[in-house]
Amino acid sequence: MADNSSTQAPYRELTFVAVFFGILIGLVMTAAFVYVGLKLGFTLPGSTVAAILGFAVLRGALKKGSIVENNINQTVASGINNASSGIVFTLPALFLLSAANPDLITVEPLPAILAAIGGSFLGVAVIIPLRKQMIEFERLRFPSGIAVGSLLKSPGAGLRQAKLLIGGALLATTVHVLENIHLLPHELDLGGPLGIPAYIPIALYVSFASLGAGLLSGKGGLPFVLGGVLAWWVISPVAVFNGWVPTVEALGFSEAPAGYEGWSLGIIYSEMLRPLGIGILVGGALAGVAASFPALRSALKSLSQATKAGATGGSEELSTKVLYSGIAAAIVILFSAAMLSSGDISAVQALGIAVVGTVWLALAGLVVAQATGMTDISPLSGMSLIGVTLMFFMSNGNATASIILGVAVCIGIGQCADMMSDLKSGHLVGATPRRQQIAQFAVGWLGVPVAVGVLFLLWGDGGGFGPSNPELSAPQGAALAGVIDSLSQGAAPLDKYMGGLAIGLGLGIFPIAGLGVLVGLAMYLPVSITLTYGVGALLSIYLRKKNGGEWFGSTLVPVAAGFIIGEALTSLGATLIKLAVG
Amino acid sequence: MKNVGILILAIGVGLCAAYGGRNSDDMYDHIKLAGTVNLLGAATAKAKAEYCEARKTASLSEGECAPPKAAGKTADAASGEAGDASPKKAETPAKPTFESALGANKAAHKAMATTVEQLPDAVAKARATWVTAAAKEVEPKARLAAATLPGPGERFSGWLSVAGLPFLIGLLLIGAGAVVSRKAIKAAMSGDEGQASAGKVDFAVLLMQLRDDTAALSVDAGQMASPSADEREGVKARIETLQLNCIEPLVEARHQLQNRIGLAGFAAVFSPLSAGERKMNRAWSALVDQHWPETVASLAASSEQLAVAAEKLTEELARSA
Repeated sequence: MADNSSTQAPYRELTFVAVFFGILIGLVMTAAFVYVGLKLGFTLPGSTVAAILGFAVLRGALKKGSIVENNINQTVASGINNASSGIVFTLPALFLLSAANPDLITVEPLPAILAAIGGSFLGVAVIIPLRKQMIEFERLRFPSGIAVGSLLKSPGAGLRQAKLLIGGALLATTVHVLENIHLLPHELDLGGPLGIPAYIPIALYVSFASLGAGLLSGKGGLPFVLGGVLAWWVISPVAVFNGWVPTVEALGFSEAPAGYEGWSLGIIYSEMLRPLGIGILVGGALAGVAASFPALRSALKSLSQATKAGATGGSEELSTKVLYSGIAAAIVILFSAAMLSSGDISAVQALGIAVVGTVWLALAGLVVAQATGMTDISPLSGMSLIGVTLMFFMSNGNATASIILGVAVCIGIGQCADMMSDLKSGHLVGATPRRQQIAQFAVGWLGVPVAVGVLFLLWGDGGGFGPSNPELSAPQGAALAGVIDSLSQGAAPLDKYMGGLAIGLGLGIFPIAGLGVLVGLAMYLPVSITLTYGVGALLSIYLRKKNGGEWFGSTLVPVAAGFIIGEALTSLGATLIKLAVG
Repeated sequence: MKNVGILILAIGVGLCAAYGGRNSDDMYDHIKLAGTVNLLGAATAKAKAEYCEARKTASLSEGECAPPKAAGKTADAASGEAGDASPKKAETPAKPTFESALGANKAAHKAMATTVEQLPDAVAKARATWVTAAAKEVEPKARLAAATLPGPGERFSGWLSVAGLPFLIGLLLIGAGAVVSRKAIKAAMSGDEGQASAGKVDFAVLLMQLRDDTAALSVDAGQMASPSADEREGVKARIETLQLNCIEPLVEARHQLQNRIGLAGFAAVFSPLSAGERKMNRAWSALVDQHWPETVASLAASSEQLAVAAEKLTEELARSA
């Protein structure tokens, strides 16, 4: 590391090199991860990869990067890469529907790009006042943010902590490799061998990243585990015992047909727990907003003061002007996208869509950021699904408009979670939030045209991806196309959403912040993930009690961060190998 | 009382969530029908796979086992089952009547059952099993194709009629449990404030200590024009000690403070406190990056913010008293 003190040069933070390199990494990751998403149904987060590459280039090759400069590089890269998941989860549905209905639906790139860019701006804007609330007041953990923060700080954290970080990463890598070559299972079924029925599942997800997230969350993550217990050890058996899930006899079979167990579990999950969990998530977030209103008001007040200070260059926060301008710009962009998406949308309808879309995006962004902050798990698909459903009804069942606006919602709420996680890393290394936000505002949208362009390129003359193409089956897009089809038949589970909303609001009265969000999130996930996370949380409580806070910070945090980093990097490597080998 | 509150809340949540998960009778019937079709379909697919395997063993051409063309959906493809991710029509297609769907399915099955191909016994037997399995699907598939999914409003009112009362009772229990717990926790916290209980952090004392130590560190650092490696290491160690011994316990004790001076007062104190903490983190990063001027500037900024936090705390404590 070069000694800058002799030259008295300003401390490097928001530099051209950091932004340029972040853009480069971000764009490459976006293009690659769109392909990965179409093939495998999931994308990968980019922060860890960008932070490591940042080390190699900024500090290694260029020999002048600082810790906070690398934080900017990683913020930019992950912000751009956010478009890959936002686009790949939603827009392929429009391609697939257009193939089935060429006379009714056409795919135009402009409305999709406009909507997605609007969503990207709005996602960064709405998170501005929430930084103080979530990072400074609520002190949400953001396990991945801590992991990236640990990585950024590693040059100065000492040899012992570096060894622990690397050791944790190697352990996670070893286990993940063994899973990928099928020497270890992805899930350990503990209930089956004990004769416990499948509708009361007891299983552990073999994932050191989930364990690491639990270790970093500690006692704050326990309600999440209770939510999983409630879902799978209370609701599931109650539903089976009461015959709310059709029995073998009710289905007209004399004995259980092959696949009955799996089917009934699928019904419990998809028709009961998941929609109820989504409702609880939303209710919990609304209750959270109401409960923390005084602090939010204080955050906004502090931003207003920052606006004044900003005039003299002394502010470290983006001002409320940016927030309000971002919201106004996003409404205009969403309005334009709605008008362009279909000739059947009237101006009044488009305005309604833009306003409701903006409000939903802000709320869903809050939910996703809160859930990510507490557990590292993002309910992005559930929130996007509700966004598409809302847009579907707002546009009188117009599939094109609902998907185009769904793209905006998905990208926007992804930006909220990503920005907040990067701000957490930034807080840990002492970065200036304003510079991080400016960087993400300025270039976070660049991934959108690339992701949309890759989709058009892969689609070719038609049929380039989708269920009929085993090479690129686009599972998420196909699932959304199925949902749109179900919606057109009136299949929205309003009862579950409303019931969940009431439960989430009720839980908001209890004096544990985010209880509803945690319980809802757990209901929305398979129990194995929740239990592995729970093992981590319980272990963390025990170890902290036994060894004290200092040991927690100096030993457990780097190990847990290593778990998350190791698994993230191995997943990326394994995915690339799978793609290369075919 | 806190545990009583939690127990009431847990019962309420269990009741609410269990009945919240229940589906309306109409929806239950639809799930049942879709389930029958789904499981019969799985049995047919299995029988077909066995038939295809038998063809392969007998070295016959793929014939009926050739993968279907992507285009051209059958009438039953529009059943709208969850998990069926094929690209289907976005606009609602006209629902077939049960009779028309049954007729179409019967005709399709008849065409499938008829074969002119001469097959070896084992293959013919496997084919017959497949045809029999497919025959079982004909009627349920037609019923599903003709069935209408209950709309959102119907689902909601249907759910209210079968699960509304227990759900409402559960919701009341959640509210009651939460209120009892909230009061109990608040009472316990006020009790703690009155006593100087061991292990509890005195927020004000610790914040003043942090303010003073940071100010001293800032002054010391400011006096070092070009520090040696040992001096820099010493500053780094002092920062790490402040982070561990002062900032962490203060952050851990935030709920105690919140309870004492309210959320708005808490925000007024924690905003500059967090800014001071972030500046101290920046000083640490700058030290690692060997940028001494930034270290000195960040420590000064941290000290300034912590002084504001201490001042705000004094004001808020006076106000709450």
